[in-house]
Amino acid sequence: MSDIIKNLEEIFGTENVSVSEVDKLMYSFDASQREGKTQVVVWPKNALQIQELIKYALNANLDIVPRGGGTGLVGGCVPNNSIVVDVSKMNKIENINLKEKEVLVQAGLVIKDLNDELKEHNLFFPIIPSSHKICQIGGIIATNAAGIRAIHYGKTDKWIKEIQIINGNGDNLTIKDPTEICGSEGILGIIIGAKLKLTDILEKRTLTVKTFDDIDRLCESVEKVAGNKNITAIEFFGKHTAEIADIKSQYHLFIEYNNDDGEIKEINKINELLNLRKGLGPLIGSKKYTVVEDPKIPMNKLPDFLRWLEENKIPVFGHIGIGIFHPRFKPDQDKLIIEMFELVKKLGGCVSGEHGIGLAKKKNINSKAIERFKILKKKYDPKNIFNRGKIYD
Amino acid sequence: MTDIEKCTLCGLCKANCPIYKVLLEEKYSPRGKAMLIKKEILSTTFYDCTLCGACEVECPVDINIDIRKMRNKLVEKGMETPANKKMIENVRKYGNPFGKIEKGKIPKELYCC
Repeated sequence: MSDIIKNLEEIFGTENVSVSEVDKLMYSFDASQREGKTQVVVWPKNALQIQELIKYALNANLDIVPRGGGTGLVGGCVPNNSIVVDVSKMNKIENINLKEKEVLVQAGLVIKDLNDELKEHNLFFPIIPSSHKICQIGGIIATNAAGIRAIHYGKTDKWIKEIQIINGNGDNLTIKDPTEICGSEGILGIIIGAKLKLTDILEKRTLTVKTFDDIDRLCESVEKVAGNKNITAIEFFGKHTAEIADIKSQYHLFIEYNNDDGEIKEINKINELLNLRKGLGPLIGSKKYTVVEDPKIPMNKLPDFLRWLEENKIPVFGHIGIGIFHPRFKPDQDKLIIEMFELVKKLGGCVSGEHGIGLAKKKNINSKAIERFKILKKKYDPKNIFNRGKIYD
Repeated sequence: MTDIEKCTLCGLCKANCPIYKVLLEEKYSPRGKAMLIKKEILSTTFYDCTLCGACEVECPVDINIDIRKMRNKLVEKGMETPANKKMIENVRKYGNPFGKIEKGKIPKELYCC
């Protein structure tokens, strides 16, 4: 062990390597509340250090876990006696190209910090997960995050021009096609930067809040507005969620527009309501509903799925406009979770719409997806040094 | 349920934490400190906090991490900062936290909270 530390300190400097019990604990968990075991924590400052690390890890047969904001909900960066590489200090904006509406950033940059910088240029990066104030570019690429405006802007892969990644041979690659890396959950390499596409800032935002007592009326309303090009978000929460949040027990729909069509025009009120929606996950989690799922349901099957949740009194919220939901369960509700996954498959949906597989959903990933990841693993990380035991065993 | 038991480790508290935003290591984050309390681990990292309360503002479940209580425990266990030790020694000896004050001279080392 002392040899490992000595070598890592030579690469990163003593101040950027830690084996203290406190640091090891800090990097043993993420927002999924799963815990693993950290061997060493390192904080790289540049690509060369990471390349050196990979070369060393290959010889020493070490497991390397890339980590960003630690906001993942499936344990994607929870270590298994691993070296945790926290890229948070690689957080610079390297270049903004106003003409091409592109920005070159390092992987540790926080989404909100990027958008704060872009404000003066009237531009923004439109992938806004609920954790956008703390989640990082590397993390949203690794999970191919969606977020509340996915109905209008799509998922992360749509906004990536290039990805810089250090692969399992220690090569610093610039990948033009994001398909293979987006959603690969840290098993192919360490994402160190990206060239992102930007769009014009939303000049106008208005919001309409609708409430329903009946699932069919709710779904009809979603269907009616879903094709509207001026809608930037359709968010939802269910009756049990409303009860937990101390709001009248009804189905709630938040519809955000990029024009004057919404009823609420005052920006502070809009932000307050959307923040209420964004805070629902942790709020429900604090009431012992600690297991979070993210199934994606075909739009024509929403009533069947929502009725099942209602019958089983499962609190739920989510991006109803694109069919992604976040039902929350208590840890002893295993049987209900299995039942829900069976229903999701029966309805033609998929078990993970945006959080990824990580450790939490390994049992539920289909063999076709595993085969795809195995082929990619062979291509990028043939010696299997990255994030062992995630997505598949 | 205590405040810390409600913590889901979501990490939103990191968003405005003036210590974490500069040092960018998890142990300086309010979430990290909450984890230490959950695990009943006393660490001098509880001194790395401005007590500004920004974490509480961001927290979706309004958790107030009782840093003062943890600092009291640290002092009880003798895990003080060198500056704190010196200040108390100076107060006892000279009646002020700065140490020996001679007319017209500024103390060589200034200890203050």
